[in-house]
Amino acid sequence: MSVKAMADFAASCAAVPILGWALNSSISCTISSELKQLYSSAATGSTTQLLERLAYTESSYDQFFSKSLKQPQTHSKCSLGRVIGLWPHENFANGDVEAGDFIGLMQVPNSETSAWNWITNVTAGAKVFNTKLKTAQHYRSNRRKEDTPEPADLTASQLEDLALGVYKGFGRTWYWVPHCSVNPSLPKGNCAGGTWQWVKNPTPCIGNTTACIPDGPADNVLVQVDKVKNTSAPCEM
Amino acid sequence: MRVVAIVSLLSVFCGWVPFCVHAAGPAVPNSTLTAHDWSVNASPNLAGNPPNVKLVERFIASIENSVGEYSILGEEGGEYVCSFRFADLRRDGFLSLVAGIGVVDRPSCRGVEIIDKTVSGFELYSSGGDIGAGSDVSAKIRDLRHDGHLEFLLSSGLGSIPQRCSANWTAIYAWTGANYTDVSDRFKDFYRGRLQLLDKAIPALQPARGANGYALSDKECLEAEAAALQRFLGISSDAGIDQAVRLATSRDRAEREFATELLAKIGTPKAREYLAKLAGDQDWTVSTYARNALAPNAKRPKVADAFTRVN
Repeated sequence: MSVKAMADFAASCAAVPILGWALNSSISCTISSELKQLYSSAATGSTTQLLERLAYTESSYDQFFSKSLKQPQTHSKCSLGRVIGLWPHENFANGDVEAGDFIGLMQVPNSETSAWNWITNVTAGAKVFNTKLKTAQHYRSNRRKEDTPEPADLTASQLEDLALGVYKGFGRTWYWVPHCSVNPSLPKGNCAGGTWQWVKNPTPCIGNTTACIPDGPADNVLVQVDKVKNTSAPCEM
Repeated sequence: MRVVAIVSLLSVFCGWVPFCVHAAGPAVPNSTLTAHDWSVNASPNLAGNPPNVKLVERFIASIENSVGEYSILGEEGGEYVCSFRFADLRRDGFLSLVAGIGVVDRPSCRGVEIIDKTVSGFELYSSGGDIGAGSDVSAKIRDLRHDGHLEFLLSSGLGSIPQRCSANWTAIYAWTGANYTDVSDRFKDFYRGRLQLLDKAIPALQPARGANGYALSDKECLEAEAAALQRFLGISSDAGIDQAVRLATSRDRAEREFATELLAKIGTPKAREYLAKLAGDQDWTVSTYARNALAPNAKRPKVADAFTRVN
């Protein structure tokens, strides 16, 4: 916030930066509680702490992050300079993805409210995860329809694995893939004389290659999903 | 008119190839692009007069579905085309479509697909790399030697310090007659240039991001990239080991995570010694990365062969 006072021809500026809050154990528990509530209607057999763990791997529960930033001037005529303090937690620049495209606890697309209001942020994150869950369900249904004999259904936890993979940016490099017991190279269709079984993707790297094992775990859907599932978020209840 | 083109692809050959060729699927569904003239000499050709992104998205989805994948391109919450460009990658008179693929509402654009029009149909090659590898494919298609042969620059991750920075490696791919293969070692000048740039940029880093896009928070990652370049160029076979060892003994779990990635790539006996220590780390991610890297069947990544070869 900036205040501009004018008297006759003289003008002066007073800048009062509004910054975020620092994480502590009490706030961590509040965040965990909110995330658990947002996932409370998940299917039976789901991982009740899933959104907490997902948020923790996305942001370490930091909605705000200490850094030096130049104040945006927007409509102010005051030069506000740089402020070192707790700014909304932006993604770091990576390749052509610019810093600040994604924000906050769940690293959702940046907006003013999801940057400054953590409840808006986690609610948006839960919605994004829900869309990934639907994508996973479509994939599961599609494969069960196309493959003969029909593969067994996936458990709620396995569907979460698929959705987490999409949330982590792997798209159709799925965590679970159907595998024909008598013809492993058959991509889909009739597994004559055998059965379709869901197996962990043997080509789990982006682009469905095995190229990243083991040196590029960031590019490996199995590693990234397992990381979420094996994370222990603060104050898990 | 229903146009049916036969995709000339007979097997799905993935595994240890960075660009995974999908071959021999059934017929490709109707698509304006399928029927289009992909010739370089078409007037106007697809490079000069590209179609809109939605048409490209539908075309890629149809090709993906035809080779046995379940495409989620265009699906709500699924994937989208981050960027695309038509270019004469093979120099065979036909254009290739290069597209970056991302996941809606997520930092992604990791996927890169190339669809080649050949005399017998279409061929699909898929690959990917670090976040953003496909976000601007036009900028990644280069004629590095100014000889009319196009190369594709694919950025893959050397490692990252979560919530701080990401160290990238750029591999150079080109059509070599049967596939898009890693030809990085033919372009040493490109890597020397990058090393020179880093040697100047690192000592000048400031807390605020500079004109080159780097800030002090990127220092560890840029140093790791510089060390990887030194190893690749044969300047020092164990460049970066001191940094990796320092990070491996850090109290910050994110730095130890980064250390495991760097040590795995350095691969010297000393690096493996520290990986063995990290395999017992209390943090799940650190210990898992370290154990994977030490596994007897651990394979070196093809995508970074040019980098690991000098280790």
